[in-house]
Amino acid sequence: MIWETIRELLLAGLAAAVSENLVFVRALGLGELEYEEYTPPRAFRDAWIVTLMSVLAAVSGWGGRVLIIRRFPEALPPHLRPPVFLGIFTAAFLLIMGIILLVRKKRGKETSKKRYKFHTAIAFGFLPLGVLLVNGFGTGGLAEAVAGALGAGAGYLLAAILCWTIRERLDLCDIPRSFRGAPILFIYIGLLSLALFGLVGHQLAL
Amino acid sequence: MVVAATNLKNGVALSLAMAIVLVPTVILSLLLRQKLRFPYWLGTPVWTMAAMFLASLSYYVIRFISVEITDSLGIYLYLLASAAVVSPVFTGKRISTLPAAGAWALRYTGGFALAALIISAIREVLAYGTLWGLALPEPLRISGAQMPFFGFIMFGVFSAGYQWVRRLAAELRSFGAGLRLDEEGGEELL
Repeated sequence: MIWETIRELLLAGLAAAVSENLVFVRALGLGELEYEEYTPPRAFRDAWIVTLMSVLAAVSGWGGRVLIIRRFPEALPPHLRPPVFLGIFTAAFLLIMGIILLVRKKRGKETSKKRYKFHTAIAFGFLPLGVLLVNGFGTGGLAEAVAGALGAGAGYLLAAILCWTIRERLDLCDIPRSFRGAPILFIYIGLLSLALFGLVGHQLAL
Repeated sequence: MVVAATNLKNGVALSLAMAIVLVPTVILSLLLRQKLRFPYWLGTPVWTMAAMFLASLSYYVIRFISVEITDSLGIYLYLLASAAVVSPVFTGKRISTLPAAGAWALRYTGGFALAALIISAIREVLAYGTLWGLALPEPLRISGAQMPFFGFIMFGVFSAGYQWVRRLAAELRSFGAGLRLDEEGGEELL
């Protein structure tokens, strides 16, 4: 029984990382992928933060869905539910951020503005919000939501490293001037998305 | 835009929703950060919540385009509230007044709408053989046009076209400036 559950969770995480990759299949997180600056060390650093924020977002989305089903099953139409999901995520984020800043201050460690600005920008970027909404409008349980969020973080890492390799390869090519930078990156990502579409075989529900 | 703009109705709905979300949110963001001195870690969640409310309320405007417009747009309507949409107003620019912020938001929305309408119209014609739901005579059908990969490739080609136009405009301007200098008998600026 427990192996069945572990297998289901692993499959959910793998699906979120590959066949339902948020960058290549749902086109989320492209704004965070800075084409000219990505390197593997930065990819690992950012993916770690994205994963944490995605897990928080997944739990918030799941919690918001459960809250609405139990308290407002008929009263709250679907288009008014995202603010509930985001409200829960925002409250949790501010609470955790406040606790971390207080603990660091008590230990005499100052947190640089750049660091918490970076964490805030990631937390309210496309990827965690996408995870929040997918889980808020979805049907899975808490464990599946967390497994999916971990997979989403792994998928982001995969996308970041692929973008770095793309850049390394394209730097060796003679690209027409108009296509240099973002245009050729989008075309390359489109081809990767086509390959993943071959795995999924259908369009994901929006 | 890459995933959701698969037909012209979606393109129009996204553009309208962007205008409704972006303009007030940028103004609020400027107020919070520069006038009320909110720290970034507090201001960002506040205006993101405001943007999400606006995205939700935009339903009451875009529902007149189509009954199933929110099903068609999915989560992409609410993703307009993301910080990545609003924060470019403070990146590399010195925007410190409310009118300037509002003007930037309107220009950004205009550019977004132009791209969304063109891309969504082309994708609808290719994927479904219709435009605004109306069947076209003798359509060329490419069913893959409704998939995200086609959106990525189209967006890349569209961006390349935009870069080409900008470069051409810059070259024409510098050519015109050079001509004017020659006429006045001045030295060419290097």
